[in-house]
Amino acid sequence: MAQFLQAAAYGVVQGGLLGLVAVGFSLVWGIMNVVNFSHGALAVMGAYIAWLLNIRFGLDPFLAIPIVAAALFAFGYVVQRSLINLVINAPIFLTLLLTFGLSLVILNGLQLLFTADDRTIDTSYASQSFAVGAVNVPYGRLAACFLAVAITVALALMMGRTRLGHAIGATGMDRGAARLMGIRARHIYAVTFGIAAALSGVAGTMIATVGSFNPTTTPGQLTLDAFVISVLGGLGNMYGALVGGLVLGIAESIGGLLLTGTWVNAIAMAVLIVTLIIRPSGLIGKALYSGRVEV
Amino acid sequence: MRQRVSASGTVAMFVVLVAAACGGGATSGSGSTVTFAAPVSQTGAFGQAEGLYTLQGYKFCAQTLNSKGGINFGGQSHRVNLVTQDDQSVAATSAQIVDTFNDQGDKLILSPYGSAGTTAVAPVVERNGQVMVDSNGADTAIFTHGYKNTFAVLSPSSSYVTAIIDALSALTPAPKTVAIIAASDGFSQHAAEQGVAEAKAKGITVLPSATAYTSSTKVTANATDVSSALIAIKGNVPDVIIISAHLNEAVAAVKQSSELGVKPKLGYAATVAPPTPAFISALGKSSEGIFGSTQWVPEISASDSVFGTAHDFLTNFTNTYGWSTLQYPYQAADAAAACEALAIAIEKTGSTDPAAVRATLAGLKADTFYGHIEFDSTGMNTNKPMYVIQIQKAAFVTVYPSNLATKQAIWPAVP
Repeated sequence: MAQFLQAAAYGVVQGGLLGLVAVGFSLVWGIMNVVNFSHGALAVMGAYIAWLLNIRFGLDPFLAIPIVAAALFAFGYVVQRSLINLVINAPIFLTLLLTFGLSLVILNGLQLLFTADDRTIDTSYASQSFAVGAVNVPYGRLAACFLAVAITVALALMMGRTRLGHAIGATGMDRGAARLMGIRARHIYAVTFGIAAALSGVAGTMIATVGSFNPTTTPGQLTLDAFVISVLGGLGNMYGALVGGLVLGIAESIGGLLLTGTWVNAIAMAVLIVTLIIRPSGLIGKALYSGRVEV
Repeated sequence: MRQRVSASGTVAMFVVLVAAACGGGATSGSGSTVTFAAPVSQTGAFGQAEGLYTLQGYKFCAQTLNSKGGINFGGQSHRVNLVTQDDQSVAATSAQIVDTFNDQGDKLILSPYGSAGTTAVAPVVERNGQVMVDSNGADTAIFTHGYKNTFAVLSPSSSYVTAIIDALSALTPAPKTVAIIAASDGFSQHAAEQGVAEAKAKGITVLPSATAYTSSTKVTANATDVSSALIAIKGNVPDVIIISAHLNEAVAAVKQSSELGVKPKLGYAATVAPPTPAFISALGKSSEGIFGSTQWVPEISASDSVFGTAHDFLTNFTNTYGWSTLQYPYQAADAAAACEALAIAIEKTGSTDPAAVRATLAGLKADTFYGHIEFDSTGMNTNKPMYVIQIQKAAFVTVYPSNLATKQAIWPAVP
């Protein structure tokens, strides 16, 4: 029973971290209809910035988050305005190809700068845990989980209660009508991509704090996780990524205990397939995004 | 007539000049180049560490051989031309690359990094009549198929965890219980299996059960999340956690064991990860005190005419590639030794004919910087011992066997 509770607790905090990884990816996909294959690369870029701030200036990764987010927002905004916007009306496969290429450029650049060695942000607390009975809850992953919840709630509030959020939502639903209402779609898309890049940078910082990262294997895994979680949680709802991440984290953790660790990926895919059979739009996704109007 | 002789002489001179120009820069006393071909991981799971070390070992060997005049046979010296291709850390790609090498006429093969790649390449080598010296594929299963053309300079997988068990048993206090987390690949599983047998022989109890490495403490190869295995041993925490796996799994195990409150009472040990610079850079201070089994240490009393002593190899290799002598990748020594064994066999054979070189390798007895190389009937260098290091102040410190130990082991060694 203690092992089951431990697996469940670990699954929850790990799920929060996974949700954090996916929230930006889900936003860009839901609003811009761009499956951003450079998401993992942006996360790793954020991880390197946080790592540099830590080893050069001794800055704690949680304190580095605003700097990382600002840097990634600026990078994402410029990339969207100058690059992705060029193909925003093209078929989705072209945006896939473009973001994949962007990912390769970013990662090769990072490899040239930092080599392909694994890096980690060494803190005194991230790998420690506190005990609740027989269950250990890791500080680092718990903080990442809280961060994921806070960011998701903030994102939902922004989308629902601010002019910017309404503009983003309107542009996602009907770009032509949004333009007629005076919304500058190009700017809104760039802001959306910038926000997603900033969130991926935050996720990368957390990954570097609780685990390790490198420019070769980490980005692909993060992009795949984000893709699966976005589909599982569903698009069109700001809480989709968080719910998808939590379900996946718990399923993998308990499944890995009941079967063996080698079944984790199969369990994740099984959960995804079963969910899509029962709810094709994802756990809490909205079907309205499939009927978007793009002019 | 004189004109005819003169004309034919001119033609002959022209032919000689053209032949000289096309002869790859051959000079008096030097013969054609000898090509060693190797599929080596430069990207993918092994590209960042183990594959890189292997590639550097091969390059260093070719460079050193050439600086000493190359390989001498047939009264001429022959430069070594090293041809490598990235297998992307995919075993099937390694096999395809070796087939391509064969199409190009390259018959002398150096192995890819790792047992999976070497397992895939060995039957291709056999089918094509190539000959391969294996530097970093230790899985004993490679040598159970009756292949005649594959020879491994390194100790087999069976000795990785057993060496750790032997080293730990010699410490005070000796561990009474161990848990073995094993990756799903053949090498890691076989190493764990033999480790369990050795633990039993030493009176050490394996937790949570002797077969757990095949079920509850088994993790996917190259996984970065091994929490399921750690949770399986939670509540029954052993004296030592041994990780029979590669870099990713070992790094994850050390980090996550702390997160999950599964700290061993005495310390951690792992097979191939700790004696690699990437392990220390990934874990930082958390790598302190961790034991690791290794194929080579510079303290061994061994030397040859190419690389000098084991210490000379360490100094020259680390200088060439910018490594610290305190954190040297042993996989590079494996690679250089494999390359050297092939060169020695060619020199002894007097030709590069793969069948003849294969016959020489089968009977080879060579003392090198890496130690004695001699293959048994299956192609394994079974008499070569394994060694154990401990990470102390970010340096690899040899602690086992005791006659090679440079410092006392720090024990208990829980970070």
